Amino acid sequence: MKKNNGFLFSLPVILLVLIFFVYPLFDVFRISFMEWTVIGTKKYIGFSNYLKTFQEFEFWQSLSNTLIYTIMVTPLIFIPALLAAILLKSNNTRNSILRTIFFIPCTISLVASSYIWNWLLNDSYGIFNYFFIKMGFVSEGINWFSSTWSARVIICISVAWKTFGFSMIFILAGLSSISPDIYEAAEIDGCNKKRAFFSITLPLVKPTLMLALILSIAGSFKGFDQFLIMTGGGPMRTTQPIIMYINKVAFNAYDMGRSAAISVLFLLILLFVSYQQIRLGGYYDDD
Amino acid sequence: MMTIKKKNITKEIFVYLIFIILSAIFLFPIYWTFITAFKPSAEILKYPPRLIPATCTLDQFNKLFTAGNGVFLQYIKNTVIITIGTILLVLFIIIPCSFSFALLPYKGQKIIFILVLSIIMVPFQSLLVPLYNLLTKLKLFNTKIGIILIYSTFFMPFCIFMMRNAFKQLPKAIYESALLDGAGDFMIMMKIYLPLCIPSVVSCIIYLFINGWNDFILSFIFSSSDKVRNIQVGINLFGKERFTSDWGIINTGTVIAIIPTVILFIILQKYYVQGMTTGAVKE
Amino acid sequence: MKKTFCLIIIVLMTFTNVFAQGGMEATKESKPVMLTVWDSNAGIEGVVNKFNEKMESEGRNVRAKFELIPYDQQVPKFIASLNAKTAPDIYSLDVVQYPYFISIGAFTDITDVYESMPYKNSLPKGMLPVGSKDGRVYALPYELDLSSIIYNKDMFRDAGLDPENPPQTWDEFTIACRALTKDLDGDGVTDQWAFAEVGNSGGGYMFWFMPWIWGNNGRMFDDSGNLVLNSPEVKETLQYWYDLIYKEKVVIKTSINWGSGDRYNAFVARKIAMYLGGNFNISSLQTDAPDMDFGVCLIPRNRGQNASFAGGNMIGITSQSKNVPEAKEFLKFAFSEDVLVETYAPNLALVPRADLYDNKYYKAIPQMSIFADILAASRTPVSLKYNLIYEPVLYYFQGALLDKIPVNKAVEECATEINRLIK
Repeated sequence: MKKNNGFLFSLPVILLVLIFFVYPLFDVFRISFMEWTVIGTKKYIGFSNYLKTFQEFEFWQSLSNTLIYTIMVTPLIFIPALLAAILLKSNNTRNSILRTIFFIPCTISLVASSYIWNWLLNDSYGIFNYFFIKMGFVSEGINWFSSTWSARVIICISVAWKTFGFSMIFILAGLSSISPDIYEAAEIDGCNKKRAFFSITLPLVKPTLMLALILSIAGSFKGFDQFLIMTGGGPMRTTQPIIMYINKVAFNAYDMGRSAAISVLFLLILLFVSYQQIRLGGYYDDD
Repeated sequence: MMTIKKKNITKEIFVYLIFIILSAIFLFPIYWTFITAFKPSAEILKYPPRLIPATCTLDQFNKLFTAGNGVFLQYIKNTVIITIGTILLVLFIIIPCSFSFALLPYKGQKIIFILVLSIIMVPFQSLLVPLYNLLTKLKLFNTKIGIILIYSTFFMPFCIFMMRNAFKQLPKAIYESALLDGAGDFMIMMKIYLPLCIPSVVSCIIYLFINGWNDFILSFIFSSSDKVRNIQVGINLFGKERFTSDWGIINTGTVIAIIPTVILFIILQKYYVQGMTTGAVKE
Repeated sequence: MKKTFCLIIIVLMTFTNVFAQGGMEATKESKPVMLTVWDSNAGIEGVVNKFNEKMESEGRNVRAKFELIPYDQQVPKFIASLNAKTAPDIYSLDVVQYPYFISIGAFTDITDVYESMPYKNSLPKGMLPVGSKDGRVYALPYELDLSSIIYNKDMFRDAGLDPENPPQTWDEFTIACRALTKDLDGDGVTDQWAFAEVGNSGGGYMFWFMPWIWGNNGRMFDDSGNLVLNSPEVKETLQYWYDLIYKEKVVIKTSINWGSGDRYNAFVARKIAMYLGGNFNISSLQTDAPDMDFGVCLIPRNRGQNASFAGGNMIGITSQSKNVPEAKEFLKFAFSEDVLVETYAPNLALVPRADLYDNKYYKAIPQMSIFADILAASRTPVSLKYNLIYEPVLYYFQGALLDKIPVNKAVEECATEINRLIK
């Protein structure tokens, strides 16, 4: 290895990473062992923030809300994405227009999509309730956010609408990387379309599928905007995700120490998911 | 022969019809928000709602831009400044860094690369408290620079990965022969390598723009005044107004927030998709 | 490897410290005095502008600048700024927050300003204790919000009710509600509702539901600050609201998930006949529903007296202000007759001085005449940890009204939870 400017070239990035990533990463662990209510002094109190968190019903409630949401929204994103990717695989004008259309909601923000859906579903002036009344499903406007499960379903539908195009593009990229020669060879060997899909396409595209799945799960775990805007966590905190809880403990109850402890727990849970993302994404395996 | 062809045409028409209906339903939410933004206030709260507005006006836009002494314009300005600042800062620091990762090995480089990539693994949502602590200490809380630095840190790993791959794909011999001609590393990067990697740079820019423009939680937590808040937080402020809830203003704000990203996507689709799917397919 | 890592961390820590100190030096104040004024209410901008005009005409190098703080962020942002030592000079903050911030010393003693005010006896007496501690004054009532009921007089007439005699007791209220709930087009579905109850915000329950509890002789805290929420009076009040929804069927059920803006919209769209609003709705109703004949009345009582929640903002000087004399001058200026009447009264915002209520702007609007009475009936609960009350109140009261928790159990568990939190 001869001497070059490599280190100098990466120095700004190294500084940024150290100050805004490595230091906070250590700090979150440090703060999680402290009693610190923003105003006033900090003092180390061992594991009591963690113990307090484990005893808090709201913590388990928020965690299970996040899990339920992830379990509900993942198939809602994934199945349409897989279907769309398979149907729109071949390149022609119709397919590329449809791909574009399906991808448009991915480019808008969660804030925007949440308000769009809130307005569609408004109990008094929303167009969806009007359709439902006209079709005779309901007799009067329903407030979809006043019961736990309808609120959850609505949030999942709006997020699936917004993000499924992303998974679709992802899977399409994986599908298009399969060389057509393989199919030709299979056809010569007398393999029909159905078998070709299950024994050639699926195994070859599996890593991409897994990565898309992991990305979507990680995204669901980090959900916050859609909950804050669509339900504010209600009714009775049943749609309050863990990030909203972290945020509330820190910036509404000013209990920075406990918020850091919850953050650490969240981080540890998510680390497993994220590790799979890095592994499947092939970020490391080049040299 | 004829009947088969006829059957095919009917089938084609049928398929197209289904696709048209499907995409119409799919885009209906966006359509509904758009036309609400152009309805007069009285019509917005009318029941039954009208699918096609009886009259089109710019009242809602007028109301949105005059509310609170034009604070919404300020939000748009902030968002543009912060997004462009992030793009410039990230490009400025990651291009040399990616170049070094691709062509200029040094001791400990691998660890730094892993460190950069581990940012992808650690969700910034779990670092809100320490980041808040850090920004307060650095006197960067509620400043555009503070938000730019945080955006840069957490949005750059993907770009580094993308640029490094782009640099790596070019033959190493170019670098070696240029070195023999007496060119410096910086000149080689700027004059030879970078021009060949422009598509990747464009993808990075789009990726950063979309992420910066659409961010909510970071701006929500690390800004406290109208001088710093971005457009997404601004819409939420209008939406969470205390004693009124003006759906005209909310829908209009939403329309303004989605137009830039949608247009950018439609114009630069190819780069956009490339940027978003890096890492999906192993080359 | 480990060594390198440790080294990096040490370098890093040093860096952050250097930055921190560098930053501090950079923010040394410049010569001209600049007062920062925070408020969740944009109205004060007019006061700031008038103050700046005055200072300019007097040739003094003192200016004020205004920053709007969104209502739901006024506490987090204040905490953040106190922590970062960037608190404003003057803060007009929600009245209920003062006991806590005064107790941690976030506000400066302004007893001398209060004593020097010739009109100090016209300031609302129900609110003054909230801004005082141990006989010293730290904050003064400034922008008032009073909870009340706003009703549609045309709908009263159509239902055979006297629009000039709105219901004063629960019994009268129930009777009026029955008459006001109608199926206008005869399809078996109610399309005009009598009333909408508080929905999805804890602050909303405090501001609009608490006066019903007071009107039934219930309380949240007794005089020595103990929680007395767990009482038959409170349970009875919540049961009354529950019955209005499920027994009388006169309250639109979806309203349990509404915000105050949704109630306002429903009233403007003539979907409901009465709603829980306040003085802050009067001027916007005039623009949004110009042809509606509406009235304002007190929240009905049962066993106690008609009551209203005296909310809104009190104004004080923070303890981090470096320009206390100028800030005091600003305060005195902000309370002067000209400034109050010409800045707030034209927008029908309530001014804090009772001696200014017969100004020409209020007199021009018939609906404003009742607010002097409402002000006299109003009160503010005092709690050091008021913020922590919101969550349980919302959780249990909304839970009871959504029929998810039995009423008695909701009140009992709410009291237990609040006690646990404020302990």
